[in-house]
Amino acid sequence: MAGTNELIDDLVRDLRPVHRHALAWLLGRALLPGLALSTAFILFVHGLRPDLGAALFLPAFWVKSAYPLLLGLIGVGALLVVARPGGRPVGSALQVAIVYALLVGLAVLQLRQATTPDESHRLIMGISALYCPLIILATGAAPMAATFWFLRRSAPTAPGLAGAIAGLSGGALGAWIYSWGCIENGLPFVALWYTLGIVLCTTLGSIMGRLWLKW
Amino acid sequence: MTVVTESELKVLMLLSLDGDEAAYRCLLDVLRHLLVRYYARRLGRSDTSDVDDLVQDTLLALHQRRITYDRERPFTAWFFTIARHKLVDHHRRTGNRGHVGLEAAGEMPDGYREDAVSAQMDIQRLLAGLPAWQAEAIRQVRLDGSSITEAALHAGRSESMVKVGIHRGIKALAARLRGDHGRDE
Repeated sequence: MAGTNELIDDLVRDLRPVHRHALAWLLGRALLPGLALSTAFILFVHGLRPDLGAALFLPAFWVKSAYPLLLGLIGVGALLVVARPGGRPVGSALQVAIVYALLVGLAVLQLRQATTPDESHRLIMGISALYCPLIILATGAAPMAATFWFLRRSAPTAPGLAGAIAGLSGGALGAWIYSWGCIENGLPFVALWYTLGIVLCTTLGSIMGRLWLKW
Repeated sequence: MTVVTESELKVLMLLSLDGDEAAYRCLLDVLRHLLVRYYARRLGRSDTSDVDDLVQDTLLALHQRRITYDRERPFTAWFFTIARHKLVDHHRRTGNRGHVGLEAAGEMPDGYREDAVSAQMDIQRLLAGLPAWQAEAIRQVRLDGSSITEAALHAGRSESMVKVGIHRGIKALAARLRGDHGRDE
């Protein structure tokens, strides 16, 4: 038992006060540089959408931007739950479902207003359908690194689930940043291809979680 | 074995989170004994070195991940979720898969079920041995987050007296709890 005595001595010596909201602060501290890096990528490598000034007056632009932002915020809330031992953010799954259902509803409305098959096709496929999920993987990478950095310092007891939530949050926040550079205005496009990008990040996160979130 | 209550452990944890070394040492001492019993019962007496490893691993995890403890929730529920996590991990590493499902379902050890852990914090019981004004000052400053000045005003004593009083009170508390639990080593 000598080892345990020494360990306790070491731990007591190493004790530092912990702030009441320390966990949320840690997540904030992780996300800030992640989001900054992703923003820099869109600003300086990809570029903002050229018609941003005009797009600001389109409801579709704001819906496209709000959808991943809401998913990202739900994900951040779920992260703070899953980061604690035994944490299961059950309510968050319902919130994600509601947000997605709202988007699909608006997408259907927008499709109905389309007058020609060409216009419908454009709303669904845009001109960047296959490129979009990949660039969301790219813009999601830095926020995902942040959420994983955070989870490795907390205590998730379900590594696959925690990783998936880290991927969802990172991917959704990355998609939100990309929404300022993306030229599409179709909500069906967002419901399909943005979602696919975020799902890719979530799946990747789940695999990474199983590998890296064991403790 | 002396029964340690959720409220006692929670008070010690809250004090530890505020950086109180005496309370933290006391908490770790008590938890160490709880863990030895917890793991010994589940691994069988033959694996004493495994038990020691698990105890140390769990105390280290508590230390490194104490940021994830939510002050509004029961302490024992949080702590034994970590202990169970370490146990499941141990079974997985040693290939003892048959045990995993069983132990994972085994929840917390006796006396720490949800009804017990959500019981009202019995601070009075823990602080009973101290002079009333000392106990009150500890409660105000260390648990409720009041300032020393406020507590001094309330106690009608100087700030430095309140500071010394809190320090001595916690030392006495820790000594008492340590004495209680030293016996069953």
